[in-house]
Amino acid sequence: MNKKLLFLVLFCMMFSVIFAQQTKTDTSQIVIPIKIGFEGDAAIDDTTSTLIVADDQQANIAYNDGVQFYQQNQFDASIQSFTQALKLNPELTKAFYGRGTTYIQKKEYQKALDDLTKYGEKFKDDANVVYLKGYCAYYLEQNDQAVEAFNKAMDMGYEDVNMHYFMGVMKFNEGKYEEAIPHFNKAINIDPNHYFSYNDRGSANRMLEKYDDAIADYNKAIEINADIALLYNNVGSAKRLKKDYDGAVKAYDKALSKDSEYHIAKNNKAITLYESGKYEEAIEVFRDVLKLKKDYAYAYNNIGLCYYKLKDYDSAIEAFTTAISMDSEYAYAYIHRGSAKEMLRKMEGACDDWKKAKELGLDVAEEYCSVCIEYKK
Amino acid sequence: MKNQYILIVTLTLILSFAFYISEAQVSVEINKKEFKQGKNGFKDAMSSVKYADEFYAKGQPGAYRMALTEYLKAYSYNQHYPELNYKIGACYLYSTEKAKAIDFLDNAYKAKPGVAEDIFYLLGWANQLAYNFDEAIDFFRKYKNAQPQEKSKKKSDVAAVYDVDKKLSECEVGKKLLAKPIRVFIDNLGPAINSKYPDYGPVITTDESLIVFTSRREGSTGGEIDPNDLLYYEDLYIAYYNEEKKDWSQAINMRTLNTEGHDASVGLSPDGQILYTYKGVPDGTLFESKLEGDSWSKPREMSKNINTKFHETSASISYDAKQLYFVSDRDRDEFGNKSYGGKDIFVSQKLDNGKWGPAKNVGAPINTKYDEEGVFMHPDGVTMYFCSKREGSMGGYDIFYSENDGAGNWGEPVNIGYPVNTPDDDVFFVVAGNARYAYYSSAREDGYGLQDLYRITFLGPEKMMVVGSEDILIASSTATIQQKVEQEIVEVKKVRLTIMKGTVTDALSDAPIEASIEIVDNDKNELITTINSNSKSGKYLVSLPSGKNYGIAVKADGYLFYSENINIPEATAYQEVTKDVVLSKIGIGSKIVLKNIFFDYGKETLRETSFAELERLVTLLNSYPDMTIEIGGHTDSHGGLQFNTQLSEARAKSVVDYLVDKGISKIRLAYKGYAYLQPIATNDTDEGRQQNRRVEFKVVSIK
Repeated sequence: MNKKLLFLVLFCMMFSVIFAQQTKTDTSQIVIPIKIGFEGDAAIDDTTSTLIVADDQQANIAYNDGVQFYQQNQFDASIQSFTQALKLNPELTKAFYGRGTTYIQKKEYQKALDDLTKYGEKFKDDANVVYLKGYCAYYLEQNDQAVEAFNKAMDMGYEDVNMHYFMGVMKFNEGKYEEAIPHFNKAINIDPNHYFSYNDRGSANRMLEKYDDAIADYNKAIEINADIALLYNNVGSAKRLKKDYDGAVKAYDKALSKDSEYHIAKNNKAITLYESGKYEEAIEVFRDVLKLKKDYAYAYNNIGLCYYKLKDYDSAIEAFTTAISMDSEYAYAYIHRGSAKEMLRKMEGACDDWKKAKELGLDVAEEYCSVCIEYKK
Repeated sequence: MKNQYILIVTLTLILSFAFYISEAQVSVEINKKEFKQGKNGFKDAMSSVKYADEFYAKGQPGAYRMALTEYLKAYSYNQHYPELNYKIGACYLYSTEKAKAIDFLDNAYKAKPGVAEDIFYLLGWANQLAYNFDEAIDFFRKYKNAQPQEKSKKKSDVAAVYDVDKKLSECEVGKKLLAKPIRVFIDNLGPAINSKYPDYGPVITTDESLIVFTSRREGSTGGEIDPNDLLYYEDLYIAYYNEEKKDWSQAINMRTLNTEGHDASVGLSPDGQILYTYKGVPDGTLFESKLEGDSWSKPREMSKNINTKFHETSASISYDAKQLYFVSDRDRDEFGNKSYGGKDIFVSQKLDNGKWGPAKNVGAPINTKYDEEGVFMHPDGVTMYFCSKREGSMGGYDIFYSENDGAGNWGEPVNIGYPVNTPDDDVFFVVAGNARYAYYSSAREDGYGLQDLYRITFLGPEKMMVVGSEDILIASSTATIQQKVEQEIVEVKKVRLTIMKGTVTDALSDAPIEASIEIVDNDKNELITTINSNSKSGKYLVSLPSGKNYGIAVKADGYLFYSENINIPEATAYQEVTKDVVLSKIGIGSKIVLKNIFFDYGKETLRETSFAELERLVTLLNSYPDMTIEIGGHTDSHGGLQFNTQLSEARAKSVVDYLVDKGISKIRLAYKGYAYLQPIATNDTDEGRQQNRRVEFKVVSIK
């Protein structure tokens, strides 16, 4: 193996990092195990894929430094070196690629897209770069461009599990759950262990109110990776929505066993208790949620709802007021507080709250306000 | 001798201890040995039971109450006799405190399942009243199954089975209504209104400023007790709402209307000027009394088109005073239509001569083979509230409402729901103009005794309750997704009604004036109704359902009439408008704005909607043949002076031309265009400009 080939292999390895999976899911992003970089010689133009050791020595040295810094995860230094290389030799197109992929690591997707575009202008047939451009567009929430790039990459024969996965996610985010599912199916066909796709397909099914299908998908994801709290939480929520309250509580408990600080799962567990009529018990659990996240407006709102159901309207108002103090645009909390005031016959206050909810965009509040002018005695 | 004496006494006691009560086929057998209190207790109990049985056999509410008192005395000595428990339970069921029946009937049944032939029926009924619908159904079915087979049925058996089927149906309705209660506050009207005696039959003005009701309280006129139910005879009471104190005044006896017999309130006109009452004599008759100043006229028996030899029991006048709805158990109406059964609701139209026309059965779907009662016409002109024992009731009378489509067709009645309706009788329900509040009587635990008056506040459907919930649904994202919430627009029954009220006074002295108030449908050029302001207070109240362009003219002898225009689009929700009217005596220089004169846009062409107002002007001028007037045209400030002068003058001339065309001498009529030079409001707002665009009428001379 000559030196040129050795560098190529190192380069490929460097850009083929698959990121570790995380178990705590509530606050940190789950990084998608994507492959960035050259998949092999076929994708590389011979004249630019090798480390350059002749001609324009200074630019080449800078380029090589960029590669080495990248290897050492020193992304800022890597970018600096690729930039220097381009300054010395603006025709060194490969440095655009190197810098672009480094920007991806830094999640600076617009800059990455700009560099990859410049690289792509010269190497139009490079399907991998087309895919990476789509990848950047996806994170820049430029969905049309992302979809266009992914479709083009597919037309060029490029196949990647994440490409289909992203397509599914974009459809999901547009609320097109039916259309999202075939994309997740393709991702699963390519990688039967792609538990992200199982989870997200489950979520699409959940949104379509196909709770049994959702639960099956979430459980499949758990089979593949049993350590992710989020997956158990989602099982719980699907069960809660199908009113399997016991099953939901068990699933939320499982999520909490994986991550005891997962406040979303705890909040959901308490909601399940609320929905099953166990208001006092629910209040206790909501209070536990607040120990995990003290400024969680949802929990205060939910405590208010429990007190409302218990006909303790004063306590309900107090809880809704706290929720509002944490999120002054929490329209539902205004609705709820107004309703609690109504039950205490404090109609002026109730009407004020409903009007505020209406201002915040809850059209239904308009109907509630209609009684305000009649409440004269 | 001594032994003989003992034998005779013993035999007498044995014979007299075994009672046979023919009606219920139940005897209260009391065993002396079981009396812990000994001989005296046994004797007292026996005496009470014997006395009670005589009353029980009469089968009347008052008699049941009397029987109950005696049975309870016997019960105080010994609580274990099934027959006695049964009788006490039955007495409670057939009198006013029905809720107390269930424990006694339960005791009777547990001690002796076959205590009486109808024990299952009574237990079913008692459980129904206690909202134990499943248990009630079980007992009613047992009762039904115990009845003789079809072929061997006697007439009374058929009736009993029929009744139990209705009871079963009521229980099923009750289960459904109980599962979906309507949201209401039910508030006792307080000690100023209610007493420890039955208080019921509230009637109110549309604005809830006045309430009249019936009470059986002590101090009734004559002070006598009705032997049928052992309560004081009914008297009418009145109370006023104090806006400042936010409470009702102490109810006072309407002495001038009450008699020694039954006097009950059954209806009140929306403005509170006409009261309809019921008297038990000669055979259930409706009377009418008018508020003249601050005193009520002597009740006048309503005409024969309303009252018959049958029972007429409740009445309600429509918002426009053109129709009277009432309840009667007559067998057919005056158009030959057969009644539906029991008590039905009828309607009579007011004739041109001011009398009530022949009554007509309002028909299906309002009337049924069951009893209908307590009719109340809401001033919105479209909603009828009434109570009925029809299918769809959860027991006894339930309150229903039905809406008219405007073409005279009534919609399918809707049960107003639990907790307003209960498995017992719910009757005499009246609704405020805003339809948010209603009044009725009920026997509730928080009451002052027996039936009390309550005010219902309708809260509408449950407000949305949305839990704060989120999930991370996309595994590759930290973004949380909130639970999807459908913003369901709940349907709230909206009243499309405007209440206009105020006082009519003299411009100079501020003295109240009794004036006639004409309400005209300008679009149809049709008189809707005429009401009078009160001579003592000058107060008036008119109900104006939405969807009409109303012309309102307030007229009094010697005064220039006052003209008001209220255009109320169809979608206008409930509103109350206070409009105090000041009338000017006819004299030189006095003037009025003719608010119901309309022209085509930018032109002097009179619209047909002006004709009613113009006719009033014609009438006035004919009444004062020596009066000369000026019609002045006025505009807002839009446009140039020349244009506006020409337009205002042309419009004034159009009015004059109309009057001349109607025979008014030309020499009595002058006209002038003032353009925008005499504004009566700002020209900076639409509202102000609208006021400035007007036609005025001014008296120039009069002899």
